Amino acid sequence: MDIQLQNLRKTYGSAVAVADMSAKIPQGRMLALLGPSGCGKTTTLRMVAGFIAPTSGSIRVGATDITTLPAHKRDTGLVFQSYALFPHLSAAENIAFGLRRRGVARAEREQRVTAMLDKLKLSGLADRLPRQLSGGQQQRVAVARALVINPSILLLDEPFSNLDAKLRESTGLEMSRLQREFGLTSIFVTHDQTEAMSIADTIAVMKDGELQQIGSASEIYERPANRFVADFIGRANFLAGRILRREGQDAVAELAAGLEMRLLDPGAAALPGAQGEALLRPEAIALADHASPGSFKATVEQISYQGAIANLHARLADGSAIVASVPPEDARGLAPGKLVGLAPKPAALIWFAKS
Amino acid sequence: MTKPETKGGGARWALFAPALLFAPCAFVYAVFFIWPQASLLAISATDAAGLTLAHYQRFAGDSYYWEILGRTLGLGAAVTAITLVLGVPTAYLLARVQSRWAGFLLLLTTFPLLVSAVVRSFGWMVLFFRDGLLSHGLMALGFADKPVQTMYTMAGVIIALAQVLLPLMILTLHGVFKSIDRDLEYAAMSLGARPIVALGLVTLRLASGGIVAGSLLVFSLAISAFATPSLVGGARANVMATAIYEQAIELLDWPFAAALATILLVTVLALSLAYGALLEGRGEREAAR
Repeated sequence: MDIQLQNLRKTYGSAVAVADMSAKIPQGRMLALLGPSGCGKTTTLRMVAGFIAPTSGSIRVGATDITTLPAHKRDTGLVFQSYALFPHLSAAENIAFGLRRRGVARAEREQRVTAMLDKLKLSGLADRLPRQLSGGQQQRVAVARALVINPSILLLDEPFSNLDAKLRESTGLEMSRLQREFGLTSIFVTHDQTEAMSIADTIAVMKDGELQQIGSASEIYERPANRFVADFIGRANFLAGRILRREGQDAVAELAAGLEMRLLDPGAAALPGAQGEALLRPEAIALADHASPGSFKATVEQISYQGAIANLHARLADGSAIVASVPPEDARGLAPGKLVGLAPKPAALIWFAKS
Repeated sequence: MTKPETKGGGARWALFAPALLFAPCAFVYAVFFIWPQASLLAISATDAAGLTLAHYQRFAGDSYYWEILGRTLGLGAAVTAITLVLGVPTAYLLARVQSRWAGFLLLLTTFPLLVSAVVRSFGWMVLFFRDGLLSHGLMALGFADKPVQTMYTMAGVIIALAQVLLPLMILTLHGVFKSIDRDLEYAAMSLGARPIVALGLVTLRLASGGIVAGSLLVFSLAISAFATPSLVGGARANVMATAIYEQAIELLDWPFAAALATILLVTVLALSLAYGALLEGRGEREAAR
């Protein structure tokens, strides 16, 4: 079933936790609520789960308005950051908990629990107590417990943040596979942009309770709506500058680092004389000779080798820092103190007017 | 060559350090608790002729003392029940409330602990006398048609003692509820449990160990309380502690007082162990299920 949040708002006294959040998640899709801590993403999720009553706005699942429905009638599968496994119940009993509450008969209950244990590779661990399981196994029990009740929506509250980096990626992909297999509409809260980009269909970036941008991973990365989104998603260089002139839809800007650059469709506000910043992603920079036209003169400060790429930390003529991600072979022979040219790839700059 | 030696010295130190740190406390405990208790046991089981069970036989053969023991245990049970009924919801709310007043409210519940039990009992005496506030209040509300005497009754002792011990119950339970992740209740609700069911199946179930611990604490303190029973109860509400006082200080019958003390101690120990075993047994049954 699809989920629709309409002008969802939560305030505590004068403090706004979530401000007019609207989003629509089509059947079977996953929305990631992404943002730094305190941005209102968890509050939003808990309003959908029914633990927090919204100040105003509505939540619909399918054709039903569930805004005032109590949590236990909402039919949601929820995976908590802390997993919230019942410490006094075994893995199998944890998974059976929701079925018992629904009055599922013993035979069917056992059969569904066993099937779920198998599906999440927990077969030998049915009788273990949560404290006898590893972090990854606890996480899988929490997922099994949420899925076994065949919920109409699935809510995930930072479900991977307590796993180590390697496990996090494989678990994330597994989660996404299960979510598609069960055809569950889901909302997924995270502060980790890589996680959001790898498993969600749509990402909602939030800050201070306000929705900043909602769109697919590539839309948000390639066409960030504002400087916050650009900075939060991926690595970003911001180059201060000023619009020189308009050329139809486009404009030409003069950057403080000493280069005139063409901006594609910077918006109507980018009038000659306007101050602002241009976003330049590290991977949209190529190494060039320091004297070549169309490139910034920069002094290398540090080179960090990452395997697939090398990150070149350098300083521009106006004193601002810049990072360029280049193929490692291009960075070979460079050393701190060396003068290089950094050439932005064509159409790589995105303009943000100074607010 | 010197290095292994210092290392060996360090290792030896590391071995003895815990024992040394523990020693002062163990010493004080041995001299001021174990030794007096052992002496008490010795006094209770000896007379001029040597070892004897005469003092215990005197207790066993006299229904008056059985009555006192029974009254004492009844007092303990009643006080524990009242503090549980009042303490569980209070402690739960104090542990769960998100208000910035929560810390202050908790402090407020502990305030009575800063006042001596004697002073608090005097407070109850003022309320309980035939001419006191309670009596007048009940008459004014029409619950009684003549003055009510609560002083020198077991009911008065139970009420006063429950008030004296309630803060301890609340403090114990507050810690227990605070340590239970609220998400566990939310998890139960999201799985279809009504809030009250989630509370029972998860929170109270997980708090049961702490509830037992708090009950045992209150129970042991209630049956060994002296100030409140002797002030509010007087001679008509004689309990073990006041009986021991009477034997030791007024009648100077130390051996019999020691026997009574030993009986009280053994009763508390036996009840604690039984309670503990009950809890453990339940834990194992659930794990095996």
